[in-house]
Amino acid sequence: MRRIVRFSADSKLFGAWHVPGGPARGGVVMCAPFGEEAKSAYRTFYETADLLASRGWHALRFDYFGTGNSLGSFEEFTPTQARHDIRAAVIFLRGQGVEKIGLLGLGLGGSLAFAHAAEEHADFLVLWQPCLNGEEFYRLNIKRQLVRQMLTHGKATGAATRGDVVDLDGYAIRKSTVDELRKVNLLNLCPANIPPTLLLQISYSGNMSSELQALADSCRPAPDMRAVVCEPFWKRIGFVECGQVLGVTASWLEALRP
Amino acid sequence: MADRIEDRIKAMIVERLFLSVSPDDIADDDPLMTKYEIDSVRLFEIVIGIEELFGISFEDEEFSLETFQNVAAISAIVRNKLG
Repeated sequence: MRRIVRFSADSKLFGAWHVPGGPARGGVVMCAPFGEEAKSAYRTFYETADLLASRGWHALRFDYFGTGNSLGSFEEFTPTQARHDIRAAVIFLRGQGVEKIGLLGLGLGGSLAFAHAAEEHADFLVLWQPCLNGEEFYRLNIKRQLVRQMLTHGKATGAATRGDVVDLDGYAIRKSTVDELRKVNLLNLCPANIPPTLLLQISYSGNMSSELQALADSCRPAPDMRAVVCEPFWKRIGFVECGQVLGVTASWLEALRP
Repeated sequence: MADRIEDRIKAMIVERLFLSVSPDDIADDDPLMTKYEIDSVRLFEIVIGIEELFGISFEDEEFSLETFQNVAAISAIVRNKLG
């Protein structure tokens, strides 16, 4: 069963709560990636939430403040605000009587989930190809924008700015938000005691990247690492088969101690 | 490991785009956009793949269709950057 919910102060956040039919094992707050990646990942997030609910997990998908159906404008999106939104989502599930609550995040959503777990609390973490470095994330978004311009105009026309607002691959965000994004660096967090964590690499290669290995090495205890050879569905426009991603995730969650 | 820049680029393209062709089937002058249905998302993957493969970075003014029209053109700019 799926319920549309509004939560947080002034009901400003919009969510879709996938409710298990039988006894619940716990809850999963799903932390979406940013901008265009959130759109491309929408179907997979939906299917993951449905799968988790069928396996006894409450799964909450939601839009960060300023995005999707939540209140606010896109220019109000900030990583700090998104962290508050994740906290609000956890509080919402807890308020529904869900006791064991973890986070599942992809891309920038994985970074936010990791930061939340490092500084606050989560019972478990599932990180799908988290964005490790905000500077690199920003650089890649600018490059993606240049590629789009190149295909439209024959050559790149450069990043557009309007006053305090930057056009980041089609999404208007404040310069201060860009600065905040560029400071994200998961390797600097070095959490002393992370909860049970699945670190899932999703890429064209079955060999774990040195970047994700470095993140794993910075964590205590070490996360469970898996590599799935799959097209990066959050960067694709067309259909991508993600069965292996969902399967590995569901199996790992089922193996968690009750 | 293939040594020619062209061959390394072809192998990277096939791997990163999950193409169901052999790298050897890609001719140096094959028009990538039309023959392999390269859209902006896939072209972005090629750009990043080249940067990672050769440790180079494309400047804004290098983002033109001529640069990425085929493997030969990409190889030329890579060769130029590698000195």
